[in-house]
Amino acid sequence: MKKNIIILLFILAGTLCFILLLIGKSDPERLVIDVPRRYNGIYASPEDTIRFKVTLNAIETDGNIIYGYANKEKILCRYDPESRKMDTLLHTRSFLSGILSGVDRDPATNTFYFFSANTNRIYLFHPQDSSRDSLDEGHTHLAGGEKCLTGTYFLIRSTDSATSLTSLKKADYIRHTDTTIYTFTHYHDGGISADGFFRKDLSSKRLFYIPYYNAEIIQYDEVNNKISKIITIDKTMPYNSTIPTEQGYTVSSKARMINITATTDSAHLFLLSNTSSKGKKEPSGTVIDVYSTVTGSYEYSLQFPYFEGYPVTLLKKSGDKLFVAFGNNILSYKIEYR
Amino acid sequence: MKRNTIVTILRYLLVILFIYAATAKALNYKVFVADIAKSPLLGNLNNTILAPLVLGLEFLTAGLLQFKATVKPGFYLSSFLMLTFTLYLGTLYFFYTNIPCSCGGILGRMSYPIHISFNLLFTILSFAGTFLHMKPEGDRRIVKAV
Repeated sequence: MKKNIIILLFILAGTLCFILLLIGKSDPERLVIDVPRRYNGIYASPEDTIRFKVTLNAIETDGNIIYGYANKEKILCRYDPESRKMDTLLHTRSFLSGILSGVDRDPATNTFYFFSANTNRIYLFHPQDSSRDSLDEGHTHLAGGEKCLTGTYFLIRSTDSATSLTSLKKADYIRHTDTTIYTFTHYHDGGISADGFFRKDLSSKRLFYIPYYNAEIIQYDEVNNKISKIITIDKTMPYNSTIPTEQGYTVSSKARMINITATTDSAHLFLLSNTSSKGKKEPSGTVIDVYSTVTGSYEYSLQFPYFEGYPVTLLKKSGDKLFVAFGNNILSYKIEYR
Repeated sequence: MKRNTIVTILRYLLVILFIYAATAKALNYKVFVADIAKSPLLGNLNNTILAPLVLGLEFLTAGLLQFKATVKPGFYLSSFLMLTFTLYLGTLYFFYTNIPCSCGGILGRMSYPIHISFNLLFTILSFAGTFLHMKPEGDRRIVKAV
């Protein structure tokens, strides 16, 4: 008995010393991954700096023209690099209601779509004649979306109130029909841990759903009606990002955002990652990982230092240019693969 | 219930736990190694050594607990491992913002408070096993004869 107590006290003391040793060596601010990033093979040369009066929350491009949406000021603005002129196209305060969950632009019709989560509506704005409209699907809960490349379809994220499961649906907002493309079976939390954002690429006709808290990016090939996945290099599993409450679920204070923003071109997905490689100085908001959308594999990384004290907040690829927003500044870079 | 019966139940509960936990990690080994690397407490350690060491210790504990001759060291090792896992997870949960869990299977899907409580329960069971376990009859007779 006495011997047991002594040995267990020794184990207790040994364990405490071991944990204290680990705490002493720890680095709590870093979300470290065990994958060395490749900084060779892709190069970004700075070309221009555009200073907006407001901090943007979404950017879209039409060639060299940049459209930006500022959520705080509730304005949609446009910058033309030819004339170096900036103008405000729309004040959305009177036009939009509800919480904005995404902004998208259809280049074919030059129409802007504003997705409102709690009103279940998609608001439309046509800059040509400044006309406005809205679409309502009725029964489908809308938690963000993106205009599909064909027809009157939208790829939306929707949560079923009965099962609390979240799905990606292809919804026709004119004919009021929808088809489920993918269901996030891991989550029964009302879609909180499946929270993310949409992106699309016109040339390859692919749409992407990128989750904030885990590594599973859903790629939808609209032409072949096929789903595939891109797994980011951090391989974060879709668990433990929510906690149950009396009203349902909420995001755990311990959950760490992995994917911040992204953009695509015909063969690549540029993803701003919130992780850093072991032993490297890669502060949050500085590393962009480039994945092949054809093979789904990781290819290269780019690192951008802070600009005027701001990390990267938004990305938009247009042709061989990558527009990178740092606060209210947008820097354009020419991207080359060597 | 006889003391020996309680010890046997405790032994096999711990054997099942360690074999399940180690197998779940081994089946998803790459994710396990990646999760260790992401841990703010373990990120600075060499995970190519740490990951097989943890797996090896879990299988070793399960092995030691299965044989009568090695039950005692099995309980000691189990107490050490369960206490380490509980303190590790507790430290991360209460003092850190980023807490990736390296456990596989159903253990990795538990919420942190449940997981910590679960670990604490098995730590107490390991300690209880250490105290309740007696040397086999044969060994005691030899001790008396000497």
